[in-house]
Amino acid sequence: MNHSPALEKTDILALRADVVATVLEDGAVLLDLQTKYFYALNGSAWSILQRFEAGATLADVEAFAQRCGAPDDDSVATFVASVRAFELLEPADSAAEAELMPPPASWSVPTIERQAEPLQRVLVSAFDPSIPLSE
Amino acid sequence: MNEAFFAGPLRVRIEASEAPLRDKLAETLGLYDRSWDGPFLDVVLSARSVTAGAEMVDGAFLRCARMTVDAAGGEFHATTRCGARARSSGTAARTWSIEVPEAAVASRRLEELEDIVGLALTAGWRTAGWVPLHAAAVIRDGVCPILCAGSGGGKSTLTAALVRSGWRALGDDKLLLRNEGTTCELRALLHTFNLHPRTSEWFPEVGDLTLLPPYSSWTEKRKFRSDGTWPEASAPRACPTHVVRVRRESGRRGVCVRELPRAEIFPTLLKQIAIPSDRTAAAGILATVAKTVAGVRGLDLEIGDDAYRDPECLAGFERELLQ
Repeated sequence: MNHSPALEKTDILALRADVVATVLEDGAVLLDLQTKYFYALNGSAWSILQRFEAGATLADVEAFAQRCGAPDDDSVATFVASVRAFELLEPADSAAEAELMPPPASWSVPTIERQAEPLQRVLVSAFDPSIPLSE
Repeated sequence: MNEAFFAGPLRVRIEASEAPLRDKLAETLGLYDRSWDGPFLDVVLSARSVTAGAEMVDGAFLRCARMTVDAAGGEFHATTRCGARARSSGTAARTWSIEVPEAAVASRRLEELEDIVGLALTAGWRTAGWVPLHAAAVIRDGVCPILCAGSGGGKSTLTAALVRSGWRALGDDKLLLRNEGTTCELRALLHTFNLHPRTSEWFPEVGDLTLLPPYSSWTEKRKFRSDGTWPEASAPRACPTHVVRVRRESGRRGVCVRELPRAEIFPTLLKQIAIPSDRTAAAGILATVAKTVAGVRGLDLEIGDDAYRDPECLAGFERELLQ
């Protein structure tokens, strides 16, 4: 994890273009195509990150989380700081309304967990993602 | 020279300027011997020799041990260590123009054509809506575990052991996976198992595998046609019900099966797939894996080094699967 510069509540951030996501029954998974790390998000975390797909500020997502029932604490800011530290967000010029999934039925502290090991960056072949052995 | 082969949902025509190129392409494509019904997506592999080798491209799309691949606008540019180059064009009927240095053709050092063929096939399969899955799968009574491990991790021996116990195999390391609506489908591509010569010690009916040539310089394994020894033991398709993380444990005796935590099922399956650094391709793969794991149970299977000496070693694992 990197230490990112301090974030103002009005700074606009967006999910990096080379980070792809898919929805699971209890949240989502992000894959960073640059580092090949993937990340597990719970439902609340995913509903926040979707706001960043088209650009959003910390103030935007905190307000959204409170409308979804989040307590008035620093849990959303802490979560966004984690996502920034993983370098999944980048500065953006403008914020836009994203097409969103419905928020989770019940709010929980948003969490993001990085898998201990990234996927392999150099593979045996286009079919076999194993670590290449020496010939 | 012009010849057509089938590889799952692809019809592959090869054109080659010299016999060694044709022979290597034909040998590589000839492994995909499971018949599929159409419709088929057409792919053309057109190979010729050239005087000078190509410089390696960056590998922004995919980096393999012997090959790097760039992609732009839906077209691919691949290069290999020996200086071979492949460029694709077209989408509906993709054509790959392959150039191989004369020196490699003359010395018949054409192993890297396998990498180019693999790239052409995986790209074609994705275009046809399938995700290539480097895993094994078997089926019995509607129960279909996907057996997940890296190369040399025990997939093939486990598949052979389950076949001997009455399961039917879709394959030991090359499958295709897709979702259609809420249905998930696995399909078989070939009848060949990649078995280590030591397998003969446990399963004598496979014969002396050392008499077969090693299939690459990477491994001692041999390509073994499973349908000759176990003719009733293959299945063309199945809907997966389990994801099994297979691990070889040198300190263990026998086997041990446990529940695989729900959160581990997705990464276990994802690690069996070569994911290009391309947003569209990666997103399609993630979505397919997510839908697949939604309805399956996960198991964690540890296999001791000499476990297969006991013919009953998998009984507990099979009970877990079939319960």
